[in-house]
Amino acid sequence: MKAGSLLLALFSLALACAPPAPAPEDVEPAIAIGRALETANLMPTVEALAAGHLSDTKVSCAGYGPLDLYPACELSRDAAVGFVMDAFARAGLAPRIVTTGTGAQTAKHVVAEWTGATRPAQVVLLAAHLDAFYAGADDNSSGVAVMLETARVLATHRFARTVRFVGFDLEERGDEGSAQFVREGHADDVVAAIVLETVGFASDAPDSQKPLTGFSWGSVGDFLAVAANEDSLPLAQRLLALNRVAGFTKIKAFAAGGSGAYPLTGALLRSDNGPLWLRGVPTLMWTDTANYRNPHYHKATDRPETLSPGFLGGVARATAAAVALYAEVSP
Amino acid sequence: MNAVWSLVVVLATAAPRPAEDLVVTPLLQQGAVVFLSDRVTAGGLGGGFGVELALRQHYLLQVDATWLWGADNAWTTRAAAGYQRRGFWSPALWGTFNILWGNRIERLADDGARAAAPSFALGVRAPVRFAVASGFVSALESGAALAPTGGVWLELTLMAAGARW
Repeated sequence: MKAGSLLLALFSLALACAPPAPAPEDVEPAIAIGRALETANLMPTVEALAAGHLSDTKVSCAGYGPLDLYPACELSRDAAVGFVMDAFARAGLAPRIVTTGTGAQTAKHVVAEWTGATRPAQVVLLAAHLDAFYAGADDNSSGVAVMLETARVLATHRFARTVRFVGFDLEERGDEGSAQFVREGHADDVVAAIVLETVGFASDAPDSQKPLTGFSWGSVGDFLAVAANEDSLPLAQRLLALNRVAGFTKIKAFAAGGSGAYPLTGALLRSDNGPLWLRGVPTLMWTDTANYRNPHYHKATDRPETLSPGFLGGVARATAAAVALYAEVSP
Repeated sequence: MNAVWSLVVVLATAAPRPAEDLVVTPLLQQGAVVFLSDRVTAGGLGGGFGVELALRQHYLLQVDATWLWGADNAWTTRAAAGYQRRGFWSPALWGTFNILWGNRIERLADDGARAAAPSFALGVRAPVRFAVASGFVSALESGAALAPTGGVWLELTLMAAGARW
């Protein structure tokens, strides 16, 4: 009886220590923007980007040995840079190329913005890397397509904060491009960021999700994984609250303590959120978990027909809504 | 680590232990802890310190704190009560109350709520111990514990040593 009482007391203590959910906020305007996103445009964009990668000139791989997950000599980006520039321009933006680095490490990032109405100096960043191995349908034409469609749907609204879109280059070179971009100060005005990293593959088959130490995400790969650190944890909480109302897609969000940069969370630093985290920029990384789910990851078979259009559409609507929420919809 | 081995050398050359009613021994230790639940993963490698009370050479009480690296900064605090065999070779069995503080990887609830903090668990551990007059050396202390709210605590203390002077 005494042992039972002790356990009950400990259980009560645990519940008492559980922080409450974040206070509710008005998410309906942001959700309406998410629902307005036209998902039918996504797969044609992925297909066009993938075709561009296949016909593109490869980035020099001098000095890089091919590894199992990194076929260094199959990397391309120039056609994607051109495609994204054109797509932004068609959406009414004024895109520009920001060049960083030198020599073989020169990166060409595509940058475009919607200027904020009342707090333009505060920037909400939506980023997706546009370099890819082989056709790169999932990694990362899926993310680029979501970014472009978000830019298009946001065009008909006004926001308090500036929304900046960046197609990062040289992510597949160990985040070299975004590291240069951040190091040169191009993200110092960012107050919230989402990095889209491989967001188009899902499966509801048993054991379709591989385990990763430290992440209790189950064995079915039917969810969007969202990674946060201490700085971006409030962004993840607001996203979950929004998605709970809207039901855009199934989300499992993980928050690492501190900067999120330590051995146990090394897998989280494999995308462009890494340099942003280390700079202290509140950033979420959204992913279908890449090689922990997609058997085509970094292979010649990473082609559009392997993607899950329904899943991609849900991710795109959640993205547009989240960006609208963080940027604050203006009347 | 060097401090622990220094203690080992001191203890190995020490005289047989006296039969005092109450012996208070400061200690150093190093090892690994991992806490796993469906909401939280935490732990790491590290070291710490504590104090042990031995009553009539059989009954043990210990409190200690350990700092961990691997998932950023985390630390454990532990209170334990145990019973040991009397003599130079003095294996022990402990009941433990463990608390893990600091950074971890957590899965947020669907409404954005965070997991409870700190994580704590009740369990047992069983070290191989050697005791002499001036202290003790304990190796390969393996322990396991369960959290009342779900979760498993696993620990391995590679070496712990206490010395009196």
